[in-house]
Parts: sequence; structure tokens; C-alpha cells
Amino acid sequence: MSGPRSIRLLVPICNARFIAAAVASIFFQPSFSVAYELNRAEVTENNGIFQIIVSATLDAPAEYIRQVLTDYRNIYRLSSSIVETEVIETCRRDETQVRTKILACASVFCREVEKVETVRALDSGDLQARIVPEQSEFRSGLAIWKITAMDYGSELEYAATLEPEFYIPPVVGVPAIRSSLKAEFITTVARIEKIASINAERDWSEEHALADADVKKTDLPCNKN
Amino acid sequence: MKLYPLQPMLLVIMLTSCAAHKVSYQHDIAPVLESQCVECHSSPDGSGYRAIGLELDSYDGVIKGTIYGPIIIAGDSRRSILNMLVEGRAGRRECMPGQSQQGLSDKKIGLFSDWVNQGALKN
Repeated sequence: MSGPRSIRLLVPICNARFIAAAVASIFFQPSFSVAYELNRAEVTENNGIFQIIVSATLDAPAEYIRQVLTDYRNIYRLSSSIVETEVIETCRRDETQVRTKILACASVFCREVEKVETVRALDSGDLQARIVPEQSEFRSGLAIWKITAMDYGSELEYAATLEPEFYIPPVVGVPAIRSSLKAEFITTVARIEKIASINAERDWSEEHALADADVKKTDLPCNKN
Repeated sequence: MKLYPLQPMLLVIMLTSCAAHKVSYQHDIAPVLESQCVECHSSPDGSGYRAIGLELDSYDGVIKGTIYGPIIIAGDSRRSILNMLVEGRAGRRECMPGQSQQGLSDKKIGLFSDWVNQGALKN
């Protein structure tokens, strides 16, 4: 990544993809049938830190939802804003690093933003994704996915904080990002449900373990503690 | 309203820089799909078809995409899964064509990108 990381303007570029993304962010609705029930979807911002809370009841078994969320090789299926993905090997067996480049849009202004997250399953069974700031355009970020099996379907809760390092114009940028993030996560929830329910229906279990993933050696030293 | 003389010139430069050679599905895209993709992505026995339901032996199949959803966003190759996979932007294992096939040349990758950016037309 080039240029100063502290202040970067959201730069519009003359390209169909940016126009399409901008239009999509305004008008997009999931083009497939969905059965999920959205319980909560909130995005707030305070001092440059975005907080995202999404909760939904999905018509899909919990184990298949977990499988979709941990299928890091195919994580691009969850959002059309993801334009690059890569699974990075670490020396720890209990966690995976995933690099993604996403198209972040605030109104008609779009730019590609890179982040690397360390993903691991907590003892509770929840999934945690923590941003690695040194390799990301975010100062910090932590997300928790909680999946609860119910009598019919599952409950999926997502709670995250996200602190972008790139500059966002405060007056128009922040509300636009808030709106864009909210729409993005609602769409992602719908896609998770769709993929999980399709896989459950055909009893599909894709190989997604780290050992089988496309891995790239990282230069990060092992933490012995 | 104040007019800035450079603005029309910049607009022309931006628009012309977005122009590209017109790519034909029949002449440029279908032959590549046929030679490097259809072996796996055809029903009923192709491994790529069995895995994700993707048929690449017809325009309709390309546009329909997989059982999970479309692989093309017309006009936007950067966000299209088809382009992501042939360009290797989703990791080496997901790079297409997979298995015994060689990767696409830069020229062919460019054709796919231009075709999608031009609207993924059946031309």
C-alpha cells in the first residue's frame, strides 16, 4: 500500500464498476428469495469507530451456517463487495488469517480497502475475527459471530467494531458509510442463509479446513505465549 | 454557475480512457470457455457442475451462474466472481481453470474483463 496511511481521501474513479457499485448501494435488494427474519440491524459511529450489530433468525441449520462462515476459501460468495481474498497460514492450528480487499463505498465515492483478520473459534463456539492493524487499512477491528441452533433454523448474531484508518469526510461520508455497511450486512446475512440452506438440502460438506486451504506462508513470528 | 475550462476536457479524457476494444461473446469468450472450462463445467458429469451447478457451455449457463448465485455483475468485472477466479484474486486453489488445465493467458483474462465491463452481452 502506498502513500500516507493516516489520511486518504475516498477517490472516485471513472470506471463502470464504481458507478455500478454506487447504484447498487442505493437500489440493491437481494435478488433471491429469502426467509430470514431480521431482528436487529444497527450501525453507529462514535469518534471514528463504527459499531455494527446485526441479529437475524435464519432458516438453515446452525452447523451449515458455521460451515459457510468458516469456508474462508469461498468467503467471496458472502458479499459482492469482496474483490480479493486469500487464506494465509499461521503457525497456530487454532486460528486462520484471511486477507480480503473490499470495495467500500460512501455514496458515489468508492475505494478498495484491504484488511487482514485473524479468525478463530472461541471456547463458547462463537467465531471471532480480529483485524491485524499492521496489515490492514484499519486501526482496529473486532467481530464476533454467534450462531445458536433453534428448534427451527438458527439465530445468527454479529457484533463488530471497526476503526478505519483512511479518511472519511465527516458530514456526508459517515452517514453514507453507515448506510452502506448496514445494507451490506443485511445482504450478507441473506447470502449466508441461502448458501447454508442449499448445502443442508443437498447434504454438501465442502472441504474448508485450513489444511486443505490455499495457504501462503506469513512472515509473522509465532507467538509462543 | 462558474465554469472551469478544464472540466470538459477532463471529462472527455476520462470517457475515452474507459473505452476498450469491443469483445464478442461468440468469437472471443465462448471458444475459451469451450476449450478450457466446459470439460468440468457441463452437466451432468462435470466436476464443476456437480460441485456448484455451473454450466459454461452456453451463454445462458454463464449468466445463470452457480446454485449459490450469479458469477457475473454486468459492467463490473472487479466484483464479478468469474473474473475474480480467472484472475486468481480468490487464492491459488480457487484459481480457474482448475485441475489439469493451464491458467488463462493475460490476453484471455483481459478479454473476459472487457467483456464483462462491456455488459456481458450475447454478441
